[in-house]
Amino acid sequence: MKLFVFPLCIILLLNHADCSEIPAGFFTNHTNNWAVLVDASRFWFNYRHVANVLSVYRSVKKLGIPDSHIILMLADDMACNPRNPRPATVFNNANQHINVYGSDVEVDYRGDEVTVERLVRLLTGRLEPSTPPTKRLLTDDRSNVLIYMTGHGGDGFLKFQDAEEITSTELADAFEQMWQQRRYNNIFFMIDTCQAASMYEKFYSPNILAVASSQVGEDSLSHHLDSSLGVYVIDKYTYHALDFMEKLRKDSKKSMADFLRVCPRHQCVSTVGVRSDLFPRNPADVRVTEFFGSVRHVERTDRLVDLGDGDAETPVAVGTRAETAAPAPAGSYRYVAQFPVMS
Amino acid sequence: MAGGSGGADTADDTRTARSLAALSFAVTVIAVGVPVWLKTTEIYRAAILYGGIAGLQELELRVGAGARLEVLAEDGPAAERLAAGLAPLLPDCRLDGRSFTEAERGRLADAADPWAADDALNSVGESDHLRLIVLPERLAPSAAAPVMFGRYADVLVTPTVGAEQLAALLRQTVVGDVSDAVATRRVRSAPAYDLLVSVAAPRPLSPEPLWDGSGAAGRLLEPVIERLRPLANISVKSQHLYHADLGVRPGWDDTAGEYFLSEEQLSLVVTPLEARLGASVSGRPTLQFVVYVPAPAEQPLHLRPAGAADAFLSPRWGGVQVYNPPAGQETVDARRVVTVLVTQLRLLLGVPEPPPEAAVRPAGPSGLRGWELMALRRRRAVENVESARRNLASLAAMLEQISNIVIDDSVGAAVQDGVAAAEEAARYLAEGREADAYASSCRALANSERAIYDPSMLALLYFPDDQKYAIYIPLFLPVSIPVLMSLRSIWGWVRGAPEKVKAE
Repeated sequence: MKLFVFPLCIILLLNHADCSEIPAGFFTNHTNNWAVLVDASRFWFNYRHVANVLSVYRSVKKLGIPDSHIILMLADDMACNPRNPRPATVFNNANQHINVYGSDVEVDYRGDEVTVERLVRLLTGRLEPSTPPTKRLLTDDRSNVLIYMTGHGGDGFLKFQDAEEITSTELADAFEQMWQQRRYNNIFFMIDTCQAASMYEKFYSPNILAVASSQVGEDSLSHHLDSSLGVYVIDKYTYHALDFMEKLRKDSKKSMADFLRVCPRHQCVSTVGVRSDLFPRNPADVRVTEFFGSVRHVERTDRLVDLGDGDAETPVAVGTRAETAAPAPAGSYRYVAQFPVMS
Repeated sequence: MAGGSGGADTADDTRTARSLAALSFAVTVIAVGVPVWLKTTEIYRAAILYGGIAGLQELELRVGAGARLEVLAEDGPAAERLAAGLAPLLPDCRLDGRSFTEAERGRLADAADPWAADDALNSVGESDHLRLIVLPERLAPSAAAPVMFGRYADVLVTPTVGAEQLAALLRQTVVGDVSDAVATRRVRSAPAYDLLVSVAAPRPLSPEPLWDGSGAAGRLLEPVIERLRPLANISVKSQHLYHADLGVRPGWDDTAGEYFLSEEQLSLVVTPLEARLGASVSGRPTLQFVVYVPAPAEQPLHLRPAGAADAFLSPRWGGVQVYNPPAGQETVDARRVVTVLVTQLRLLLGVPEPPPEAAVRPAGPSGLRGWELMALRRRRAVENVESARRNLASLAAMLEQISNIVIDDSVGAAVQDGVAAAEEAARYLAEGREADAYASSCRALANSERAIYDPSMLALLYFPDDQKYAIYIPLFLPVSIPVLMSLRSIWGWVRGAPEKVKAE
C-alpha cells in the first residue's frame, strides 16, 4: 500500500476551514521536521567546521525546529580548548558578531562518540537498546529531514575524526534503509567539504534533494581568517548559505530553488552541485521552511463529541475552594530507572 | 647387470615414494584442509524463512475482508433479502440475515424511538460483530435518516433503505479502507500510548486553573481510556508549564472586543510549545494535548475563523486548545476541556466519521461507539500487518544481498515469530475474529521491528569475503606452491612416463 508515498495535499487543503490564504503551489505532506547536523572533524585547526555546523544549528533553531528534533554530532573540542582565547565561545565571524556556541546548545553526540558506526546506526535506527530517546532519530514516514555534513572529504568519502571514513555507498545504503523502514518523507542533504558532489552521486532512494559545495576535483575553500585565533572561522559555502538563512523568518516564502542558487561561482570559487533527479517536486515549488523550519499543518477541530450528561459531580463552584481536605496521596511515588531500557 | 637393474629399481622405488609423498600432501591440502578452512571460517547465519516472507507479500489485505455483518429484521425473509442485496456490493464481507429472537422482540416492544431500540437490543451485552437492524414498522417514522449509526455495534436502518446507499455508507466507515486524509492525520499504530495533558500559560496566573486528574477531569476521561483499552493501553499524564509562549502576537478585534489568532499564525504556534513539552522517558509514542491559558492581558483569546471550539490539531502529534478561564475558578472546566480533548483524540486515532447524511447517535460517556472500535481494530490490524511484512521483506532483501552479515538466533526467532503472527492475523481477519487479528498483528509488528532494528544488523561490523581471502592467502600460498608444482611430476609418474633426469 503506497498511501504514504505520494503527496495528496489537495485533501489536506480542503480540510482547512479557509483555503484562500494558502497560496497556490504550497503543497506539503510532511507533519514534522528533523535535522541531523554532523561535523566530522576534530582538532583546533578545523575550527571552521565546528563553526559551520553550529551556525546551521543556530539558524535551524531560530527558524523553529526544536532541540528535541535536532541531532547534533560534534567533536566539541573548540569551546573549552586551551588554545581558545575566548573560552566557552565559538564564533563564525572575525568580527565576533554572534557566539554560535551560546548557552543553550545541546550536543547529542560529542567527542569520541562521533564515529561512522554511530552515524549509520543513528540513520538506520539500529542503536543499542539503552540509547535514550533524545539520541535517537525518531522520524516517521511524514518527516522532512535536513542532513548537513561538513569536514574533510575526498572523492567518494568523508573523513571522520581523522581516524576513519564513510564512503558514499555506505551513506547511500543508509538512506535506502531509511526509505525501506519508511523513516523519512523528504531528505535535504547538504554537504560542505572538498569534492563534496561525490558523496551524493551514489544515492538511489527516492525523495532526496542534495546540494554540495564543490564538484569532484574541486576544493571547497574557507572564507576568512581570524588573526586572533589563528585559524579560519567559516567556509565560503556555509557563509553564504547562512547569509541567506539570516534573512529568513518563520513564515518566509522563499523557495528551495532560491536556496540552491546560493553562492555562485564568483563568490564560492568552487561550483555548487545540485542533485534533484531523485526529488519528485520542482524545487521552486518547495519552501525553504519545509526543511529548515517547522511550519506545521494544522486542522481546526469543529464537530465536538457529546460525552453525555452522565457525570454526577459538578465542577467546583466559582470562587470557592474545594471543601474536602485533600486526602492522603494514594500510593507512593518511585523514581524511574536511571538507565531505562527502551526496547 | 644386477647392480644396474637394482639401481633402476631403487630409482623407481624412490620415485614412487616421492610421488606418493607429494600426492599425500596434495590430498591432505585439497581434500581435508580446504573444507576445514571453509567450515571454520563460515559465519553463523540462522535460518530465515525467505519463502514465508515472500508468501506474506502475496497476501491481499483489505479492511473489510471477512467482516461479519448480520442483518436482523422483524421477519427472516426481509433480513435475507437485504443481506442478498448487500452481498454483491460488499463482496469481502460475510452477510447473513435472521429474524429477531423472542427475547429481542420483547425488549424492542418497549422502545419508543430508534435510540431506545438501540439501547434495548444491547442491554444484555454488546454484540461482537456488526449488526444491521431493520427497524420495526412502528419505529420507522421516527427515524432521523435512512441509516443511523448507534452507540454500540449496531447500525439501524429503516425498512425502505436502499442497498447502494447503505453499502456506500458502510464502506466509508466500517468496512472500507482508510482514506488518505485519515492516514495522514492518525498516529502510527502502537499497543500503548502516553497521553500528556499540558496546561501552558505564558506567566503564572492567580488563581491557577488546575487540571485535576484525580478529580472531575480524570473522572470524565476515565471511561474513554477504559473503552480504548482493547485497542491500546493509554496512560494519562499531566503537567503544568509556565512561561510557555506561543511565539506569535494575537490581533485585537475592536468590534468583538477580543484577541484573535489567525489561521496562518496557528501553523507557527505548535513548535514553540512542543519545544517546551519535554521528552518522555518511556518508549511509548506520546499524544500531546496542550491547554493554553492566555495571559490576563490577552484574554479573551479566540481563533479565527470562529468555530465550535477554539482548538486545532497537528496531524500525528496532538492538539492544542485555547482556554479562557472564567474569573476565579480553581480548576479547569473539566467538561469543556475533556470534550475537546476526546474529539481530538478520536481524530488522532483515526476513528471513521460517517458523512452528514447518516444520523449518528451521541457516543455517551465513553466517547467511542462499538462499531468505531471494531473499525479501528480492523484498520490497525491491516496497518500492522502491512508494516510488518514490509519490514520483513526489506530485511530479507538486505540479508540475501549482504552475505557476510551474521544472523544470530534472536533475529531468526523474531523473523519466524513475525511471519507466523502475520499469517495468523490475516487468517483471523478473514474469519472475522477482529480482536484476535489485532492481537496477532501487534505481535507481528513488534517481532518484525525487533528483527529489523536489531543492533547486530549492520553491514559495517562484518568483514566482506574478499578480506577473508586477503588474510588467508599469505598463509596458504607458501604451503600450496610446492604442492601445486609437484602435481606435474605426480601426473607424470601416474602416466608412467620416464623420469626426466638431469643431463650431466
